[in-house]
Amino acid sequence: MANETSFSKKILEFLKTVSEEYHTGGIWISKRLGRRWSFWCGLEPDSCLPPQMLRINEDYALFCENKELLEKEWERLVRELETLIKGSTRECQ
Amino acid sequence: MPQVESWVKTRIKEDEIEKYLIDGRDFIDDEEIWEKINENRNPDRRWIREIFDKALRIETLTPDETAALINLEEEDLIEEMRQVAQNIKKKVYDNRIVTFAPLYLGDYCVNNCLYCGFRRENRVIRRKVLTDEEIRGETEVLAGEIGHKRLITVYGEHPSMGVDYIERSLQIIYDTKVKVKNGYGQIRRCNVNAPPLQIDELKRLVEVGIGTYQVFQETYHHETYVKVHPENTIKGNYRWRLYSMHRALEAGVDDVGIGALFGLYDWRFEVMGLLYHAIELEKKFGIGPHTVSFPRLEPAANTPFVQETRHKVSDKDFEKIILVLRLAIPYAGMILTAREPKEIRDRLVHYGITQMDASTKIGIGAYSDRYNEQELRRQQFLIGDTRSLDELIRDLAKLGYITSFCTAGYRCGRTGDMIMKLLRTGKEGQFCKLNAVLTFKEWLLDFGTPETQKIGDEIIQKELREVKERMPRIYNKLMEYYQRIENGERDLFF
Repeated sequence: MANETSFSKKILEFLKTVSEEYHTGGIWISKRLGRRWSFWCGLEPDSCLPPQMLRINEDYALFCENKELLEKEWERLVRELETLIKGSTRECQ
Repeated sequence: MPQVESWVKTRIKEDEIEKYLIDGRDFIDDEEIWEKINENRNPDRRWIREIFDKALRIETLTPDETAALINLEEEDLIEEMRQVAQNIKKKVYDNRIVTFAPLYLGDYCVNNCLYCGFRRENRVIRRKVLTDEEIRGETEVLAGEIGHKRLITVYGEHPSMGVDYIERSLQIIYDTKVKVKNGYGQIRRCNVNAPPLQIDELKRLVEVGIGTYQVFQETYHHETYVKVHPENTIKGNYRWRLYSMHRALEAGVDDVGIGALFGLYDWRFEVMGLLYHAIELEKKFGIGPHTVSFPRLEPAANTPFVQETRHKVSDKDFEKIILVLRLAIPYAGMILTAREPKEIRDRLVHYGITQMDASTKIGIGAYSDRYNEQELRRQQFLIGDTRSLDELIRDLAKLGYITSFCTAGYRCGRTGDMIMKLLRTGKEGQFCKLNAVLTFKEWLLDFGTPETQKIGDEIIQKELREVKERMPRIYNKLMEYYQRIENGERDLFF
């Protein structure tokens, strides 16, 4: 879970914008721990649809309820997300 | 022996206790707890109903409110409390019971707790720690033959089962795959019941994918704690144990499980202790306990303390413990283990229980050794319910419950803060329902006997009808997944 840092707030804001713009419903980032995923930060699901995953890098993935529109912009968005995650983890150290 | 002694000296890190204290005090104030219990006798009936409503809103109760419930004597209000407990469970977790199995990894221990069969000075116990190969063998039986998806691994406090061993055992368990009828049997979530660990050690377990980390305080009463846990042992340090969950959450563990061993001290005090613990975690970390456990003392080899205790909990009081905890910490999972006999489990499952173990064996290496008799020399205590998973599932279905093998939260990160929010709003209950249907169907197809398949399919049909009625937007997706599972796909989830 991201600590309450300025970077994690930025990530949350970013996710809110993405959710509205790309109609993703709930959207959150999880961290890979062994074979499982652990909630890191984000907005909880609105409905009960199966979560859809987009991999950010080896350690993190983005989950949402509808990734259809998001996938088209993913290359750009993933770079922004990586930068924000890096900033946040650096700030937490 | 010198190696053991030097290891013991390295275990407790005072700075990992002191940082959580407030003005040098821990969060359990024995006097205050007794004051609350005594001041809230003969509670007003109207107030009791307000407390019921608050619990139904999935709000944690205050110590005063919990003490009032503890003191409740009127049978009609207790009957109402039973109803409220059922409704809370249904709202938060729906109609499912999650099953798991305990896996004891070893019975060496440096402690000397008066009530425990594994205590250091108990010479009648046959000591053993499972090797890597034996861990694999146990997992193969559990995941490949019985069909479990969740384990709770149990470790003694001993250098032979230090963090290196715990970490390795989790990796072995997660890596073990067994070919079954459709695909592979595999443990998807491994919860851990281990001695108190240091923050850096807990971080290592986070990295290998620990599930819920459980440490039971045994008794929250300071004086009793000191009496039953000799002073010169690690476990003799009340606060090192009390702050285990703080260290775990600080290390990044998502889910923590608290518990008390009922029978060491007055049950009313222990219920209050569990509540104070939950409130403290909520306040400090925003996350309360994922599960609460309430085992009763059971007979153990060469352990006269169990027969001699003044605080044995009657079946009537045990029911009240479950009811009060269900209302007091309404979002928490509640585990009723096979320590209790079938009759008790069948009766109390209705009052808010969310998890039960089955096909339970607690001897070291007992699953792959395939012995069926309980052997006190190999067990920490005697278990009361020896039903197989197939039998338990059938009995639960007869009582109207669907068995769930859901581990969906760990498949997508619906954990930690997020699951807390979803539990409190009742949304998680909807996920529970959908995932129970899918995982139960998987199990029936891969492991169920024809008799259990028949009764299991009947309960699934009932659940499907409910989903169609209550969640019409999701129904088609559920049916799509359901059919894919019938066609052999596995591990589909919502």
